[in-house]
Amino acid sequence: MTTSASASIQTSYQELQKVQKEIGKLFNNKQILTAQLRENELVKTEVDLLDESSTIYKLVGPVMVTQDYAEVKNTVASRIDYLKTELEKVDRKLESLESKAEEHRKVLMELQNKT
Amino acid sequence: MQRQIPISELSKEQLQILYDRMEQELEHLRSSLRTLHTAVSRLQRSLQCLDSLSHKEKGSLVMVPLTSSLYVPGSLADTKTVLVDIGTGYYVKSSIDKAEDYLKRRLKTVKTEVEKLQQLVSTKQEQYEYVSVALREKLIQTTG
Repeated sequence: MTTSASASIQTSYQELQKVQKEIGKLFNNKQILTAQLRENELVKTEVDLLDESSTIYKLVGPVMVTQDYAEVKNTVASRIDYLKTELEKVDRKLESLESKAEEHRKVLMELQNKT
Repeated sequence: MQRQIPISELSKEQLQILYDRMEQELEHLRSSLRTLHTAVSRLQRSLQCLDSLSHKEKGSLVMVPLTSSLYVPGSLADTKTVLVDIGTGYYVKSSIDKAEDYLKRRLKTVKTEVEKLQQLVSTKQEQYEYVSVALREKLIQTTG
């Protein structure tokens, strides 16, 4: 009885840890995405201040390539859209994982109270 | 649906967890603050460079660094326009004045961020100290 109880505590603890690890990984992802989004938003504010006559280069590997103003505007806007949807996805995933972790925690508490 | 629990009612273990977490958070915030400070000094240096470039004539002699210890002589072909890195691999050709505006704008945003972060750090620091005192009291209670 006691051995089976401690075994189930162990397994549910391991599961909780697994979920927490995943949360940590996703959280890192979220931070990276947020940073990229911020950078792109900064670029957008700068691009918005420019006009058709300005020369814009893009660094591709070791070369600078001239870019069309409209094209740059489009690329930056689409990148921002993409990053926003990715962030939403990560947020939703984080939420579900948090509730999962909470459930595991409850189960673990109950098991510990029994013994 | 968050419950509020007074710190004095937390157990020793819970306090320890809270303490560790706040310590991590503070360290993270401090490193962000350091990053912002380096950004400020980099922007200020860029501004100084722009200023000194604007006083130079076309064709002035300069030493161009190829590596950190190898320089070759060169002459300025253009002292009116510069390339500005606006992030994510994009560069814009702009006049000295426009580049200066850009740097000043950036400097302003970074500085407001620094102020915000500094305030956050000091409030977090207060909370952290509060928790640390509570934890120490708890430890004395349980051992004594």
